[in-house]
Amino acid sequence: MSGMTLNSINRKGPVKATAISATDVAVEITRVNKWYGEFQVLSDVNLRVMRGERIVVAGPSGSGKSTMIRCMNRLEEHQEGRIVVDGIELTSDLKRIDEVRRDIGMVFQQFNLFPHLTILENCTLAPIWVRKIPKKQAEERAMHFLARVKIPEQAHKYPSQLSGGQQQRVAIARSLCMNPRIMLFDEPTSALDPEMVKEVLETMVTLAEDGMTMICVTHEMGFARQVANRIVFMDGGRIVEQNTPAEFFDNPQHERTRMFLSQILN
Amino acid sequence: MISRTRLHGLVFVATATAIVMWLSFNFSANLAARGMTIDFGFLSAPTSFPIGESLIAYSSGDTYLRALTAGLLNTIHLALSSIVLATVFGIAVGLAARIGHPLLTSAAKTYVEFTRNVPLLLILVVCATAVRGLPAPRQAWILFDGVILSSRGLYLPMPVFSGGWALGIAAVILASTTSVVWKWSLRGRSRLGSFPFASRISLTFCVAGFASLVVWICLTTSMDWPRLTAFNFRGGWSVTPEYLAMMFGLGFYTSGFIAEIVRGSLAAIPKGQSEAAASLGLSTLLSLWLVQAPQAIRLTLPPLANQYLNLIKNTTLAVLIGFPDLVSVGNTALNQTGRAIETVSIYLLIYLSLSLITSMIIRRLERRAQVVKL
Repeated sequence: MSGMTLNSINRKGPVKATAISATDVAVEITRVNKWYGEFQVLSDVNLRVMRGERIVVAGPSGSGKSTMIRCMNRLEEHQEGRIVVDGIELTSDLKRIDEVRRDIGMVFQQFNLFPHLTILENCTLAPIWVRKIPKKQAEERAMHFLARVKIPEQAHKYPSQLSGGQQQRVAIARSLCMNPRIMLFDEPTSALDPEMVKEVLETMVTLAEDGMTMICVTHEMGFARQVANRIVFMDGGRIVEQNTPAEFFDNPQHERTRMFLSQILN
Repeated sequence: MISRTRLHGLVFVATATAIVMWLSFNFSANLAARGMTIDFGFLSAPTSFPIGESLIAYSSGDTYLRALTAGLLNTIHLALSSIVLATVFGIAVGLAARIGHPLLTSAAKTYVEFTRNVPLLLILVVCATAVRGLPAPRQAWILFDGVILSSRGLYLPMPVFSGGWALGIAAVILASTTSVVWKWSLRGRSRLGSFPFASRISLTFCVAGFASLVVWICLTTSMDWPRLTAFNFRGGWSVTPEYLAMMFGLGFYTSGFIAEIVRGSLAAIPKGQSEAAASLGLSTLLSLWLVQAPQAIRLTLPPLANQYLNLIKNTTLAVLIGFPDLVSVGNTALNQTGRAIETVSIYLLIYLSLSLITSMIIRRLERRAQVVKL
């Protein structure tokens, strides 16, 4: 399993199970369909994520993984079905969308830091303008999270002066500054050099240990096995199989899953 | 043995010198054949024509230099107001095309296509015809209290400052003191984390200074309202119908191009930027203001400079509808004195300087708008 050994994280065994709520639903997706023109990207997707759960979404490219999580904060809109986040249903109501987005953090493959602002300003922009927190307080909070992702000394630099791994950790800190209840990760390590993948994954593991509800689209199977409570496997816009990491890797139920695993792990 | 590049350089310089020498020889030979000389002496001679409108006092019989200066000031006045108009409309339409309701977007696109695809001359003819249709002073349209539009032009109330020089000097002193105090206070803040006591006191004095300046201005300023006399309005600030036609024509035409520049620059910002802003909960407007616009402005400036330069040069079309700009006044001077080469070289020098000044200003802005500061 090269994928696992290459980026194995310096910790033993899976992340300790934090309390997963049995009743508190974080995200509920019901019979969602979505098309790009004629092409159906999501077909009949059903997924329930409980608070405190850590979900890894895997699957070949073009299987609809990114589209699904981008629907959760309505960067993409679904045409049929219901998506309820934190008890708020996502419709075309802009006010509600902004309300949901405030409480969901998202980390992108391309980092998407704001190049015209310093690292600190990147982290304080939304807290100041959206949450209306006083600047000084926002800066203190930003420094706290920058310290947590281990780059407080870069606070006054600009994104272009940082390495990819550092930029992605800033992106995580920037999301955390909004005190999100759920974090979405859209292939956070796919654009990184191999040696930088580890530092970002470690940051994500720390976050998992703190009990954050996380939904990650990733190809890092080592991370999935260590951190996820559940792995969701998608293909052709459908959820083919979902299971615990142990079952998913050692006893896959579907032929398509077995094929995917044999390709990704060898 | 000389190197190849050096040889190429020498050949180029030799050819260029030969061409310039041939042109200047030709020029002086032709002048001599016609018995002409180059002489700017006519500038101090008295004119025998009036100018429709002027920002400085001018009447028939003043020197040609004064007439041309009046024309130049008209050109600058027209160019500046058209630039402001074009920029305001351009930005509004460009933003509408980018973030508006689908209906607004298609309206903006129609506006852009219309302004871009109708020749400027045609737009100016339409505007000139339109201002001829304005009502006589007695039937004038009163748009707001004191804002009057009629066949005599647009009249606005004008503030009259009677504070005089003392007011101006006080304002300059106050502004420069404040700027020094502010810079000093910022240094203090970055050292101590908050404004030191001394700078808080000085800043309070500055604010008090500004407040008293405003009070002073309010006490010494009166408004001059335009009033109807027998055949026209008097008082206030006014512009002629020809000026209005030129300003709206140029502003309208150029705004379409500026709208497209604004739309294009915003479209060039990677989609990830607005997605990141949205995922942080920033509304569309906040995302535009805080994230997209600061990055787009750097892309906007170079093509914007092109549009401003075009607009300045297009003011010369004022000849067509009888607005006395530099070329219009200059052509009259040329007809009366026969000093063609002198007049045209004055045009050349002035438009070149205006364009260079504009580019210089935009360059400075560009440097300030650099995204990545290192």
